[in-house]
Amino acid sequence: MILRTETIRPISKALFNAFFSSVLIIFFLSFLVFSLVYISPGETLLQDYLLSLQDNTDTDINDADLEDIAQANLPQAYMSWLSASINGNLGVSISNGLPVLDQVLELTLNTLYLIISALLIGLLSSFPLVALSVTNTMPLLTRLINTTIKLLSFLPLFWLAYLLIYISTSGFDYYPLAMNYDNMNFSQFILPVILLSFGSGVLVDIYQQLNSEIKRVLNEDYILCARAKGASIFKHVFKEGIAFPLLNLISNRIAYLFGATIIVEQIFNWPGIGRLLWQATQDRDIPLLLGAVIVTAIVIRTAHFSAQLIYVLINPRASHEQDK
Amino acid sequence: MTTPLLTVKDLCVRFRQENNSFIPALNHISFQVNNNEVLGIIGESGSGKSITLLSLLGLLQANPGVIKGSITIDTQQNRIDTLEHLDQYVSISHYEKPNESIEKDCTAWNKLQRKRYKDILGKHIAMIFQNSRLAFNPYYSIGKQISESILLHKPGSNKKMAKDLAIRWLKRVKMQAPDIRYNNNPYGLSGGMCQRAMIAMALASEPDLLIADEPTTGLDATIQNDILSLLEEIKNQEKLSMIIVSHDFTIMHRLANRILVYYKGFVVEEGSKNDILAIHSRQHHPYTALLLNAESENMVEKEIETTKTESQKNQLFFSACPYTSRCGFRTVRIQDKCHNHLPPLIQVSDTQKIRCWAFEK
Amino acid sequence: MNRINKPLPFKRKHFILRRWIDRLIVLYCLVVLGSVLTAFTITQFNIIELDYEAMDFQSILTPPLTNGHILGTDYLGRDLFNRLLLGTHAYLLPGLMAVSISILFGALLGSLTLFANKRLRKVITLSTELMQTTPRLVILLLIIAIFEANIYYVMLVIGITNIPTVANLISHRIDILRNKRFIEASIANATPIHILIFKHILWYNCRTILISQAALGMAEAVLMETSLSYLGFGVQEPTPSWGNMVQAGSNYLLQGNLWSSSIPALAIMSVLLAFYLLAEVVVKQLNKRHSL
Repeated sequence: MILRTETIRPISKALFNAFFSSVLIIFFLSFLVFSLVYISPGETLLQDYLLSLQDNTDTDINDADLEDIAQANLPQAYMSWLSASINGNLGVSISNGLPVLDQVLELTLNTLYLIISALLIGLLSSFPLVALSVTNTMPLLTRLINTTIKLLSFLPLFWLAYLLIYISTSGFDYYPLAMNYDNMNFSQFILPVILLSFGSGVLVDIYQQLNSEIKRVLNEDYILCARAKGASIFKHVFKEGIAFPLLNLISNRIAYLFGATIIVEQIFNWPGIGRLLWQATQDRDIPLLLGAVIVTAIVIRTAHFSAQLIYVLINPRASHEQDK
Repeated sequence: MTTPLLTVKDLCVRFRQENNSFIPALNHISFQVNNNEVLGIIGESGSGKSITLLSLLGLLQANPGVIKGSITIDTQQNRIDTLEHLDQYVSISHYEKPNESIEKDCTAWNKLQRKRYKDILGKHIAMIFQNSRLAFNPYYSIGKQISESILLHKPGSNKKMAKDLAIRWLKRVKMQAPDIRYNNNPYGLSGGMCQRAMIAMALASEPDLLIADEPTTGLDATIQNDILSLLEEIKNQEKLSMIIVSHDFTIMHRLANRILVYYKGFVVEEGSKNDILAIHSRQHHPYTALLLNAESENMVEKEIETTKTESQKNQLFFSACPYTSRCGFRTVRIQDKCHNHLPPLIQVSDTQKIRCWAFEK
Repeated sequence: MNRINKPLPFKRKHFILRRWIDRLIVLYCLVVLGSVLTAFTITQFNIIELDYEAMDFQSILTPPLTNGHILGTDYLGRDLFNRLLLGTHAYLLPGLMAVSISILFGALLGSLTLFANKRLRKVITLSTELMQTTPRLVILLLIIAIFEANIYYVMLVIGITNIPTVANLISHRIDILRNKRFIEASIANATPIHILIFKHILWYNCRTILISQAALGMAEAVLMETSLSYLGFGVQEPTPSWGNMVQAGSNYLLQGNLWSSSIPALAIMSVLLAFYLLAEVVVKQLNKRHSL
């Protein structure tokens, strides 16, 4: 739509900046996290980990190598870790001896199912509420919805989960079974997704943001002009009132959503990154934990980057503002 | 004579204030616009000019807004009174007394208006705004927005046709390199170019009536001239009627056939161009005389500053002439009437009406 | 362009109702936060002798107001009210520490943008994005696995991760303030830098930001601490924390005993609500008086 020659250069410049800063952030984060492991009090922690990295590459370990590892300072250790991990070797989990990267990647997909469905359900269920509030059709009902949604966001997630399970078992006779690895049943999906979308504040955020942004945009001059033309108001409000706030919201809140997933997955025994993180922390399984953290960061950063990408593509002003 | 395109009778608009009193934004506005005629509306800021335009289009989002009157739009297809059944939604008590109280079911009324105006807005009446850059959606290109107007109101058009037509309109409003400008975003265009694009957007749907809300305010002097010439050309070539609102007399000189003078929500003088713009005539409302005087003195458009204290006394104007406190035409003979009775629009000649007791026969 | 804003219909009773609701909100905040503070002082200095571990086997999982237990008992017969009071320990002081770190350093960092604008701003933006890339809970789990499950370490990390947010807000404010001439004027007047920063900028102009960030930061600290204790990584049994009280009662919730899990959960909710409302109320008040 906007891909004309004179606009390609600013867009690509903006995107390149975003990509470059993403990569920079990931590396910096991995360095930070690695240095945390480095300065950890246990002496053998790091050495064991680096050793495990060597183990995977099927070379013989001799004493010289061991001494190297024992005396490696932070940059050298980080470099060796980095070179190993870029090759896909994140070490081996202490608790179950399986390679870290494979485990983590498999589980990330499950978590992404959960998160994306939670976002979709949050969006779908907030649209009628926002429409009600913006068109001011039933002002009293809107006020009621406003206050209940605000209060809803303060309920602690972990308690709400049990409440939901209690209600569904006693009220609806629906028992969410433990996760069956072989055939992922749709019915096991419902409760965690509902909990994640309503309990973690996603619905509240979407509702409040969309509400305020749409109301603000409806007062703009170009909406009056669109009304005078007889044009569809929804089309004109959509970009600034719905699309941009949603993109913004998702990139701000997705990290928090991952945090909430930890609790949800632990309660419902859903095999995802959240439960992995929890279990690895309990077992003090550093390699697994480190790998999971890095992969989570990469996933979240990809989400941010794609949001920025979409933003730059549909907003003709974005790439130009950066030039100024 | 054919029936007039637009007839407004006794339009009244109120705005509710915080202490439950009402600001009478418009009172007893009546005028007509015939085919191929340009009506100019002149007055100071705050006299209700823009409010008239918005209420003509049903776009006035105020509480209570329009409370009385009738607006009849008579196009070739049909004739519609957009304020029909208004009395069913409004209840007024103590009308035009200090303790006026008005209740209006705004949501239902707005819903009804939306339905009514669906076929009129954009198609038979188009509007251009003062700040052209803000009137375009900044997230779409101007060409797209012009094509949108065409696609909406021209039956049987597809995207390609709309694009060609839009480029032709851009060429018509004398924009350079129209096919490149088609893809430009509004923030990248200068004020004059944006204004031209907005005129193209309004004309693209081929309306019967074009409403211009201060089209040249805020532009540089040379560009004002260009836009005015453009409007003149359009007036001569297209079969359009126009309503032009301004506080500048030069526009009226060049474009208007008839002129209305507004003061504090009242029409204080109505007449043809020659009547109103005759500087040395004595047949003027005192306010018009003031405006003309100011304009001719400096040869530059001059906006009369209102003192803010005046606006507080709005409520009393129904029982008096709104202009009494500043009026120089008061004589002992009519003083009583000026302070106690609102003057009606007195017909002083075939084409001129003045709302002033001094001209009563 | 002359926009006509939609004036709301003024109804006197709505206005009065709104005033009463505001007063009620302030009362609620004071009551809740006051009781948290009193609970903390009582349990800290043992002003009243309360037994947190006495197991009353006669009343297990009882609802409130039975057998002399004000809020009921948990699965071991321990009195919930006493444990609730002791639970404030887990988050109050550490939370204050986290908040003071984030506000202090965030404000300093933000005010430094007065001098070195573009580069520092870029650093701050990048660090905000860095903090946004990982979920806080995940970093906390890492810290807990690597070091120990010490609540003060956890709160230190929370404080540090909040610094860029605060700095960002303050630097935006300073950006707006730049256009007002008083900064140049005070520098020209040879006002000492520390007065310029602390008094003029931070206190007069940015206090709404700082106070609301403090309240919100405290709320977040409470939430993080309770989530961690729920997951089993915060305060360990038998020391009570509201999070692990919820966890202990959760299995019994599924069986129908609502109280032992819901009471700490409602306590968490009321404290969180109190902090959020406090932030809103304070901002509204300060904006009212300061209306520019």
